[in-house]
Amino acid sequence: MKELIAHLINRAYQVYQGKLIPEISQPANISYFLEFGGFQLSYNWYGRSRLSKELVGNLTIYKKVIHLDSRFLYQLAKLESSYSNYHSEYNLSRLIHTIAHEVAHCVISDYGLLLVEEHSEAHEKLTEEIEKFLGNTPEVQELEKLQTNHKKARKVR
Amino acid sequence: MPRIDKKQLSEKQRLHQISQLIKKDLTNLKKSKREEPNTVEVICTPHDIFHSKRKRK
Repeated sequence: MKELIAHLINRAYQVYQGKLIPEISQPANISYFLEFGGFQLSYNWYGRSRLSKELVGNLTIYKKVIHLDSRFLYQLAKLESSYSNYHSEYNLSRLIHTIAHEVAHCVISDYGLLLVEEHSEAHEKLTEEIEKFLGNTPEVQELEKLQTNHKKARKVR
Repeated sequence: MPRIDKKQLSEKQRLHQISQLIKKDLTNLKKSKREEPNTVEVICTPHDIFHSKRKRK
């Protein structure tokens, strides 16, 4: 699953990278890949982006890491909890929205880290665009199929 | 001038709109003369999602 998410975030990042402002084909804060930091338990976020820069001599390397709440993973795996519907809000559509939200931060940060300190109107619109794009990817379609198959299997049982 | 429905805009036009918004934000940031930090952390909370969905309706 980690590989699929890493694949998905990088696919979206590469599609929108450098596409927003055609005059700036190579934004200053660009990264060549996004790192998926994995699923972590959180009490107040669905997803998190950590954007940082590191100086190597005169060169600045930008690192962009995305984390997702581990309950998305439990929901994908359909693990049960003692509380009914505890994981249900972490459904596939919220996962896709969260991924789009985090990737939008990473794309905008290519033009400056200060741009991502707040959720701007540009960020909101870009999240919508990326969400639409993700919905048509084979990765998301496969996840949808797996969820449907799981529902069918449960009915048979 | 008649208002253009958001749904009628092509992907290119929508991306152009986003581009203009980012340029505006960049101009404002230049004016503020703030130094770029070494690390920024942003989170996506339930509030962000519900708030943006409400605005979209």
